[in-house]
Amino acid sequence: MEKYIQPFVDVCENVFKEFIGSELVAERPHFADKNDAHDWDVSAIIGLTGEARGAVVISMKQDLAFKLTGILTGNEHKTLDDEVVDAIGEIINIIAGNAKRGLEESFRLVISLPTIVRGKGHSIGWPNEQARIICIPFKIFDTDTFCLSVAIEAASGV
Amino acid sequence: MAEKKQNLFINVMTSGRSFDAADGARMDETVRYILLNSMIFLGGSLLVIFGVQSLLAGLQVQGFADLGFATVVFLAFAVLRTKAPFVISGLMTVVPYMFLCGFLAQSGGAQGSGVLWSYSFPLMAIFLLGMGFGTTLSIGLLCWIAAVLFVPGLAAMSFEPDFAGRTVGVYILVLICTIVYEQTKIAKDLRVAQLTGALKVERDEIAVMKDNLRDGLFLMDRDFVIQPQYSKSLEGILSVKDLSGMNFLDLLKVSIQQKERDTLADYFSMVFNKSFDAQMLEDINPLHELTYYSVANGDERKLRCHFAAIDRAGGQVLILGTVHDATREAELQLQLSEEENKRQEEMRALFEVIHVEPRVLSDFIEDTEYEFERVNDILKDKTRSSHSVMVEIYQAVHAVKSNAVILGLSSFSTKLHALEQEISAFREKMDISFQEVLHITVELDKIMKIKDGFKDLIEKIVSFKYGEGRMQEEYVLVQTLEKVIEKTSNSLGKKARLVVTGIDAQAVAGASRRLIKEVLTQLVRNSMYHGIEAPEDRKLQGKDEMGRIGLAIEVVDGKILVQLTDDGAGLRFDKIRDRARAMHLVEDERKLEDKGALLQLLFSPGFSTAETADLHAGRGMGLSLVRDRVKEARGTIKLQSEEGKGTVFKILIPLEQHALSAGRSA
Repeated sequence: MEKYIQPFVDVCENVFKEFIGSELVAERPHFADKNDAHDWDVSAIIGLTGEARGAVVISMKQDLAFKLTGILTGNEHKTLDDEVVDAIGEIINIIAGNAKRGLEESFRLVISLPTIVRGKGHSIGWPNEQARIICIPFKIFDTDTFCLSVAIEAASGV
Repeated sequence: MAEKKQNLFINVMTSGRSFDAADGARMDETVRYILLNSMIFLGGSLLVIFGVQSLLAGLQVQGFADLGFATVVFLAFAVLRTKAPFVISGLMTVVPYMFLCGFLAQSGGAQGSGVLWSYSFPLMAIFLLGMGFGTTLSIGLLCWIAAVLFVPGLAAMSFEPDFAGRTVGVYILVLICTIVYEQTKIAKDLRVAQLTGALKVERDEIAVMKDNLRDGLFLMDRDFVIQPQYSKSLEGILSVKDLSGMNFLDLLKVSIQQKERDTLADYFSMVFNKSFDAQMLEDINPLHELTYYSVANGDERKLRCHFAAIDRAGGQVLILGTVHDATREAELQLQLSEEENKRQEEMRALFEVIHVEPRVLSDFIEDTEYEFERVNDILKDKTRSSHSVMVEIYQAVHAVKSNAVILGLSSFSTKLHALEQEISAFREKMDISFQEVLHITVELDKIMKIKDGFKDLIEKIVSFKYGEGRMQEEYVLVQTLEKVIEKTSNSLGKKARLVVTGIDAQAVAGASRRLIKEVLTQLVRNSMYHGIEAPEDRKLQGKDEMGRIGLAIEVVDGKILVQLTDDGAGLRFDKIRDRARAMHLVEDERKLEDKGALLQLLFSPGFSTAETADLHAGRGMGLSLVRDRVKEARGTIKLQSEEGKGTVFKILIPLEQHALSAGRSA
């Protein structure tokens, strides 16, 4: 399964380096219960289907979203307005696009367009049955973090 | 130079058409051209000579007529080289010739022999101009000859009627014979054309079938050379182009070894022999199933080949080879058998699971989840290094595996064992990459998925099995330990029984239950491996063949006291010392003499006196796990041992702490 996850990690690292100009540090992955409460403000959901099914979700807090928007647009933001969502959506689009290229070439996979969700304490309806998801925290700008959560199941039940 | 001359000659005679003796179909046409050109040169030259002679003799009209005809004839030569129809040049030549013949007949010649030229005319005319023009012109000439011969005064000399009759008769005979001959030839040509057409249709149909055939089809001769007519798909199947003339055995050079190639050559000679039974040949066909690697690009395919001898005209025998690309079928077959294996494994796992008492199994699941949670907390703990995390995961997997082995969940424990082996590689490595941690995380997820499956199953089983009443905790514990002994004694060939002298229900209630069970599992295994001797050794020492492992759990002064005794060999300090030396664990030789230091070693991770690791023990993880767990619970371990008599483990764990956590979880 890591063969499906690793490309997302690599793509995240490359995209942040290229577009934000900041090195990401992938930290130790761990498990989370998808029903657990979290305090993310923005999440982007990228669906996968084909030989493996599931979703990859990139979640962050609003402070980081503001910072990233500031770098991309040059405007300062204090609320999670449309421009912030658009800016984050743009980064995620690039990530999804690059991941799509890599994954759809190597595997029988189709990757959906990303969907952005905003709001405090939003919950995500994951497509898989099990409660367990794998979270990969990324450290950025030394103090901020965002999380790449993955729940993928092989379609034929490996 | 000579060739060039000849080429020029052929070019002139055939009006620029190529001359190919092998091309029978076009020969007919070529001959007509050659004949016409010959006539042009011969007739034209004669006309010029006659013309000049006439002019010299003062016969101007006749001379100019001759030269005029000669011009027309030579013009015909030029027209023949253009795209104009053949018949135009034909008429331009034949009509002057007709007039020449007419003139010769009229002028008489020596003894009236000029008329003899006319006999060649029907042949020429019909051959060159065809039935229509040819016959008309021939009859025209016939009329003129008849007139000249019979009507006195028309010719330059007079003929006798007998001579005239015979001359005309012979001319008619020649004419009729020519017509009959030509008609027969036309009918024959028509028939040949029909046959050729039918053959062409047939050939096209066969070619279409051959080109659209999915299987590769080819013929090869005794030298295994592939013949030119092979089906197009053969190139695709073999991934080699232009197979014609290639050696079939050479094509298989990469796919089969020299020895097998020799066998194959023998097989082919049997096929050529034709005296063997077809079914028998098929049975021993070495290429019935072949993993083929293309000599051109190394493509891999699964092929099924079939060979049969066929007779060709002239007594030649060829082998007809059929090559079927079964790659996709083989893939499906493989997939199918893999799925079948998986299903069987699942069934086996299921049987293993339903053999376990539901209460014990749900206990196991709870323990597994507890270990998993612990591991996850450690994974999340950013203060810990990945290396120490790996050690923790290793211990957790080991603990779960021990439990799984006890319950007889062999397929699950095999998977855990594999994961354990993978993690053990990281024990030596201080620098563990993100990818490696991610891999282990994903593997843990797989393990947990299996556990989820157990959980689903147990829920289904329990829903109709409950009502028998819950088993007592101590009963579960005893049953678990008895299973440990049963499993290990089976695999080690030892005999032992568990003697329980008392279990305080208070001690094994709540959270301490798990700790006690985990610790005791490891200690009992340890006793079975390193304590209890083989039955024959025990007999020699005057001991009972059946080893005795004693257990007592009681609460003393607010502490849980767990006592585990065995009547085995006791600790062999010399063995521990040797192993410590072999593993270079202690540099200071004096320390090796200190029994206390050696005992410390015994509890350190990675130390084991067993030489190899298997599912049960030998990884040296057991006692370090005991030490870590007891330490976590702020307890102590005491160890008494007498060589030859046995070992006593005394573990003290504070009760308050457990009562407290038990209260919390309740």
